[in-house]
Amino acid sequence: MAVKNVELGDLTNKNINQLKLLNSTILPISYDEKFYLNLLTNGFMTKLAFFNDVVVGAVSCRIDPPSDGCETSSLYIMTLGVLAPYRNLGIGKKLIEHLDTYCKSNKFSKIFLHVQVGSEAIEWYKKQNFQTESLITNYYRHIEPADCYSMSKTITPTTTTETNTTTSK
Amino acid sequence: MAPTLSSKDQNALKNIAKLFDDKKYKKGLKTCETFLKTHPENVDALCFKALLVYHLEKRDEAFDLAKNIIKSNMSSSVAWHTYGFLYRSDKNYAEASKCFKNAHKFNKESTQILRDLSNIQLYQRDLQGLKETYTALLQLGATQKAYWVGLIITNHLMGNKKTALHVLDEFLNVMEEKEKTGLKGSELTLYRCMLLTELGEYDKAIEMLVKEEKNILDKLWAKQKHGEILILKNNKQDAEKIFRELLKLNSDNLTIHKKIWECRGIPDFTKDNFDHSTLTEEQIKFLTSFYKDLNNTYPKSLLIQKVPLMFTQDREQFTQFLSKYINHFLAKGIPSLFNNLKGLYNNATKVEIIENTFKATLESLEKKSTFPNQEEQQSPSSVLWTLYYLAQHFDKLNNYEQSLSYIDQGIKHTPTCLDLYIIKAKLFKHQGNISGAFQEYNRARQLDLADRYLNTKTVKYALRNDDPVTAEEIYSLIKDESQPLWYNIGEFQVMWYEKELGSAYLRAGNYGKALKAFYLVDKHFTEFMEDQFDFHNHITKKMTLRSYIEFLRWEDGVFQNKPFTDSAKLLVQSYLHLKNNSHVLNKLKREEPIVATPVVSTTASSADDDDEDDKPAANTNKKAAANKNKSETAATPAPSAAIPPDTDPNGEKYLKEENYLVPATKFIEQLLKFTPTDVQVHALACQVFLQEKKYLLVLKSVLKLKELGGVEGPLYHQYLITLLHTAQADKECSELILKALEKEKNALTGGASLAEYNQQFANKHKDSVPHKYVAGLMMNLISPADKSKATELILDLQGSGAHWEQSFNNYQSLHSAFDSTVAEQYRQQCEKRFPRANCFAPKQE
Repeated sequence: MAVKNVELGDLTNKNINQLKLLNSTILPISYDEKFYLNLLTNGFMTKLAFFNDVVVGAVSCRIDPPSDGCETSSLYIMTLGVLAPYRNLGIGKKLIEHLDTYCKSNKFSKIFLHVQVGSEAIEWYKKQNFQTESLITNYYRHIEPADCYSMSKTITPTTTTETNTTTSK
Repeated sequence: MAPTLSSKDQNALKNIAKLFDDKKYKKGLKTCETFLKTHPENVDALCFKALLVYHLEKRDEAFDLAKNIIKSNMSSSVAWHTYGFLYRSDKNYAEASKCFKNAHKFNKESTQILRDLSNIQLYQRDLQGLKETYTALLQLGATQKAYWVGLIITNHLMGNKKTALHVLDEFLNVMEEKEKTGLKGSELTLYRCMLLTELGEYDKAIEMLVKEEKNILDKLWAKQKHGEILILKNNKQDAEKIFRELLKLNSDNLTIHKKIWECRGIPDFTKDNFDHSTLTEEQIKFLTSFYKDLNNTYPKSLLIQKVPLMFTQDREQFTQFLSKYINHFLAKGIPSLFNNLKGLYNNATKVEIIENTFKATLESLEKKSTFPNQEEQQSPSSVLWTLYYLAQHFDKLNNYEQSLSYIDQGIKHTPTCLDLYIIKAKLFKHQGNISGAFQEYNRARQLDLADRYLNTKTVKYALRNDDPVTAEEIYSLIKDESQPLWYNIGEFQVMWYEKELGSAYLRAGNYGKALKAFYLVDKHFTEFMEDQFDFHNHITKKMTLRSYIEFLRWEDGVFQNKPFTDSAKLLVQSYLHLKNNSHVLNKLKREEPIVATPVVSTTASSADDDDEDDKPAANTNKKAAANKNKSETAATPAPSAAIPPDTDPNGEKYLKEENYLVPATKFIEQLLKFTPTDVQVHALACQVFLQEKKYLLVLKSVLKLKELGGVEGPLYHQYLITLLHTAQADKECSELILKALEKEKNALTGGASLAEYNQQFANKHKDSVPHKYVAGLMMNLISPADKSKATELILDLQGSGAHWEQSFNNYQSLHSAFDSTVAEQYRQQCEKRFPRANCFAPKQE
């Protein structure tokens, strides 16, 4: 199936309840009101995936500023999900691709996330070029199993802008 | 006569006129009074003073001034003209017209007076007077196009079409050639064609269309008109040729399709409740091949695929057409599929095929993600839209459980699809579960707070759910913050809000506010009438006389529009409730804050408030006023000075009416005039006229009920018997009326007594709930001794024709028509019969 009918859109204070509904349908963890309010502020980035004008998937990230271990900012995926009937259509992939582009254009070095041990998402993230970094025990408080993997993907700062300018010349 | 003024004084007068035109009324008045000190008798200045005072909102003082000027200047044209202005601003058009006529009498040369008079006459449809005015105007200025046009239109409206044509031709003769080109020329030609057609001069009309083809700009209209005239001439072959050519320009124009059917003598089978079995074999044969050809030529046209669904009777063929049609909608996720197929639901066979097709489609999609007997993979949302359709299908068939099950499956599949909640809300509404419907709309609304449709729908259902407070809270999110609710809905003519708000108050027994809300709708329709004033002067600039005539004809029937008839009926109901001290059924869900009647305060700012003084002028031009308010709020957040305080927040002035039947009669008469085929109107007319003992008028509506609903109709039965019973018991009823009634009775009952006839009626319709209800009511009326038998009939809700909404109305009337005990029993029966209709839930005290 093609993904031609999928478009990405922004999160606003008008449609935020769709994200809540989507996450509560897909994810095992429930997030509180404060979590969602934060998403609308600077330092966070959310994209909704619309299939024929209906929200069917979303990704929400936190932007981590440069720190001791890392010289540039990085993107931490807090939630990512697609409604069950709409999986395997490349919608999740499209969301990840958007993050890649976002990182490249903002010169971010890495995307990382945590995923529950035993989740089928692990394989999926691997397909999107994420690598397992480490096992963290007792990461989750309210769900079983409580362990998770930390996964990440390094963004190679391609010289897209430069190549563009050269070709245009 | 006043002495001639010096040039200095003349300039002073001009200055006053300018200040008036610039709406600087306060300054104008000051200058005017200074002038009057030296010239206390000057009529012009006195007249300006009256006008200025009126615009400073001192109406009575202005009228006194004007009257005094006339007393001492009986033959002053200016004085009469001014008096007329005041009446016109006061919307007393009859008096204004009289004053303008007097003004004309004393100044026959003034075209301004005549033009002002003509506006009023057209508004009042005083066509004879209007004709005289335009004739006089033409004598004063034969080169003025506006007067010619006025005379033509007047004759046309009077039905003097020959004269209209004659004047039009005269006008075309005196017009300069260069003016007859371009848009104006084209419009005049087409208007002439309209006149010729209305005169039955078909050949001349066609001849002109052909001859002037090059100069006509609205070619589509001209061509369609050509075809229509050919149909009128009964030359259907040539007509069909023309319409087929028009189809090439737009194959999706249903009107053109209908014209082609008409050429073949095929009735309009797209109408609601059309019985498709009345189409002949020959007609179906033509349609089948016609649409087969069209489909080959325009394979993408959805209309061409939809029409065959209506006329095709052959099972197999229908199934085939249906599958193709629905697959397109389901694959693309177009929500309007059900609306497109709704028209097929009066045919049981087609309904069955639709149900089977959708079920098979759902199964196939769920199993292999393809449509039945197809290979192509479909997107997951096609399952969703199939579920969405099936939910609507079973709702239409009144199968609540199935519908709910499909809609819930849909929500499980894609919980973020807002359309599903809307369908769920509609399902709840059809079952009478209004609070459930509100919740679903609100759920959808919260998922997309920027959606205006969902916001307004939710507000509407909050009102239907007897909750004006919540409604206002939600509505406040989309309305201008600085405007109070009542001001906003009145200013923006939000008639749905006014109707639902009034209805909520009516149910809660708050008649003052109910009437206040319904009267707003009435006011808007007066505003629509007054909109006419804006067009008269504009129309001669563009010469769009065709549209103008159509517009004036539409204005003549403006009170036929549903928002008006709905609110007028509710107004009559409110007055009947007030008159009869009806039982109040509902409480508002949330208590409203108590508003004290505010003391009218004069505007606080006194410095230079010339800009704020233009209120009456702004009122006459709604759009300007609305725009103005908008721009003002954009600039300053609280322009509360521009919004007049609500002096009657609870609508108390409407309750002070001495006799509630007087306004009720006024509205009933208007309704009878404009919507004479509305059954509810006649039922209400019977109630009002019975109370007024106007038995002949009751009989008139009773006979109309017979005509509209048949001899066996419950309403005819109810009101005829009530009328007979009431009139016979009324000692003051005249012999003549009693005789007329007796005649109607004997024709119906064949000499049997009313009680016997009522019993027969009950026996005959023992499977119909509405009939049993009426029979019970009448039994109690005729023979109170049979009360228990009557009660039995009323409480028997088994059988056909029962609807929760009608039953709710019955429940309300039972309190007065019967007694509260029976009403309570009736409520309990309704609660069992309509378990989901929450209006029958026991009242919580």
